[in-house]
Amino acid sequence: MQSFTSSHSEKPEKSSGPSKPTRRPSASIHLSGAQRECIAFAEVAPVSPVSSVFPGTPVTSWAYRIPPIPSTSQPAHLLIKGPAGTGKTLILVLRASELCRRHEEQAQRVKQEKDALSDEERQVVRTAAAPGRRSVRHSGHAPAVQLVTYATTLVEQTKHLAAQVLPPEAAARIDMRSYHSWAAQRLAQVGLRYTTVQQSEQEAYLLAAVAITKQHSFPTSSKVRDNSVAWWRDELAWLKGTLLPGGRLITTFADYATAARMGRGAALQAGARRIVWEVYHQYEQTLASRRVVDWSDLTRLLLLHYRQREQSDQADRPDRQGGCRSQVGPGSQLYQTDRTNQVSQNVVRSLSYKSDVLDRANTANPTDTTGVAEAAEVADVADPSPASAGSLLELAEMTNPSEWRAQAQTLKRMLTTASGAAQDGKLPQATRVVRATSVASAGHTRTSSIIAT
Amino acid sequence: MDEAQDLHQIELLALARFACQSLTVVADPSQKIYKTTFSWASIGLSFHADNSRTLRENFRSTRQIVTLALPLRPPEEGEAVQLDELPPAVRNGPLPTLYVAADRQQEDALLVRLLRQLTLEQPTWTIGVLGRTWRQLNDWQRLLRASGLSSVELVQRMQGNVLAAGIKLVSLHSAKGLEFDAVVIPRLMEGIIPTAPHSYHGDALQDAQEAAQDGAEHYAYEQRLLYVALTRARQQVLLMTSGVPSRFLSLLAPNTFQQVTVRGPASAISSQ
Repeated sequence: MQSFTSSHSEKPEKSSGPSKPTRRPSASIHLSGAQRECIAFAEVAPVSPVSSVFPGTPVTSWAYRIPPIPSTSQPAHLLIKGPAGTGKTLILVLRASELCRRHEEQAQRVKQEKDALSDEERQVVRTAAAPGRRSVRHSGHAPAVQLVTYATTLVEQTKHLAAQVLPPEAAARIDMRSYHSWAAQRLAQVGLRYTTVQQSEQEAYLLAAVAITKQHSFPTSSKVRDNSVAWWRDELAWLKGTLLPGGRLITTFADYATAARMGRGAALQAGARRIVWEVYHQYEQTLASRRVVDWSDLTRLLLLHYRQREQSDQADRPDRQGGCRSQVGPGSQLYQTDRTNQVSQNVVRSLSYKSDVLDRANTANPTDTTGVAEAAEVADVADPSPASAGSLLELAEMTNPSEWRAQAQTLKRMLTTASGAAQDGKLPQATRVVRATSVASAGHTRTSSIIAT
Repeated sequence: MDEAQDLHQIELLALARFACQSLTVVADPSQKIYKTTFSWASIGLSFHADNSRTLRENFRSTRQIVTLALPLRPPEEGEAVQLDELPPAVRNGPLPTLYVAADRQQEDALLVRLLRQLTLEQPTWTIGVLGRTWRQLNDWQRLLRASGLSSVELVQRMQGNVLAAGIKLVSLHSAKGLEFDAVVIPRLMEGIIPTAPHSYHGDALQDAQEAAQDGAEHYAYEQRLLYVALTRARQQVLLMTSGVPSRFLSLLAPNTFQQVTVRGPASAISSQ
């Protein structure tokens, strides 16, 4: 029997208000063999020797672990299944703690071995690690181990559990958050800025969208409009969060009309689906005009960013894929047919990156040489380069509403201003302008995705 | 990732893409309470004998609770649940009880009485009172506080601590993933659990066969919700009903719980 399920004698009388967990970290949690196996499961599959990748290269053993190691390192995922009451969440907490411990141990080892390297070896290591540099700069650093759950309530309760079964410092090392908080954290790291719609606003937008579709006449299916706002939220989240066979998102009515709605609790006839599609369209336009995103959009933005990074890294080094990016599956074809989205995301990404560089230059000490180098880089990147302006024009041509050209020109003007300001050394001003363009083009992205549908 | 069965497809895809070294996924398809279905392969993950583990031993609930809930457990695909394949539960405990009241007033009066008794007898227990709606839970919170029960709190979002003793008011949906020493589920009646099937589309062209299929899926969903609720309990399960009893009560095996019919006016209810 596990100790955390057995004794209740240490619990206090509870009154309302915050309370602190009272059972002390248990030194002896009794686990079954299967549970121990789950906790100990290795997080990286055996790596083939580096010498097979760089034949004849003298390297010390630690080079095996440089992230990302070219294509020989495969992530080792683990699935734990079990009915209610089998200790799944407890195992996850203990496994997270164990992975934290391993990471720290490994970091220590790597540091020791790195200190012991010869100059020649250092050179080899630098070469091997080079592909990873770029993506690190873009993505920032995430905590080594994150425990993600689907609801905020569960985060709090899992924290209470961790406080019971782990020493305080071990519990503090695990980054615990809800899925949406995780997605928001990752988006912040890649520098995408956005505003999330409030639930009450979202419901109002949905109901307004349903009302607007009443102008359209459909022969049947009118009653689908009577469904609750919860039903609409659920259906649109499913529509936005589902992949078609081949890994594409649902982007056209034809996609939605033919999508298998497995396990959705209701068959929807074509007429009803047409109404849902109209509501979706209206709802997305409202979000776009208010410059807000919903929860589903967070994940979509994140995946777009991932895909962009994957593409640009592959373009840099077509012969290799490293680290996280070596994982290819049907999902990686995401948005492949949605060229419009790709292009507009390119623009957003390059602007976000510029904004980041400006931030760094802004805080650098002007007297030190690194700061000067940064400023030069800023002047360079803030230039309205053919790449971003060209992308916008390409976008305008693909979608072709006249407003797109106007918006593209506005963006270009803003970038020119930013560039001028940066060259004059007015970095704060340049930063502000680039931020503004970044936000403006994020709004365009949203619009473009609707146009694409 | 805990409770992965309730994420949308692209959400799990994002997690898998950003986990450099490993993604550990914990899931129980039979506890699925949100409506999505997809395969691991569709998001580029492959799980096979080498990298998946199945936990079977039940550490939470007494043998009596596991046995009670078993008929409600939805079989996993291709798996038929057999009574003799019951996951071993390590402890014995009291037989779950179903209280049949005449009406909701009587049910509420009984709820107050049972909770007062339980908090006296088991002052260290966490007691989950599970309700369908937040409005219902708020009503109960007012009622319980007015009746002098002090350790009552709602558990939602950042609020409440289910590991500290006392009465926890939780919605059926957010009870998922939590556990309590005792679980109390009032209002086990038709229209509440299960709710009536939604008119999801009301399509005039919908044929009878489709309507029947929708209904079946709706009831299967509601049944999973109740299964999840029952399996939150460590020591004791108290069920309450009035009016038209929930159809799921008839699925329970007769010898797995005791039934108490409450007679007389609400004010006359004595401790059971």
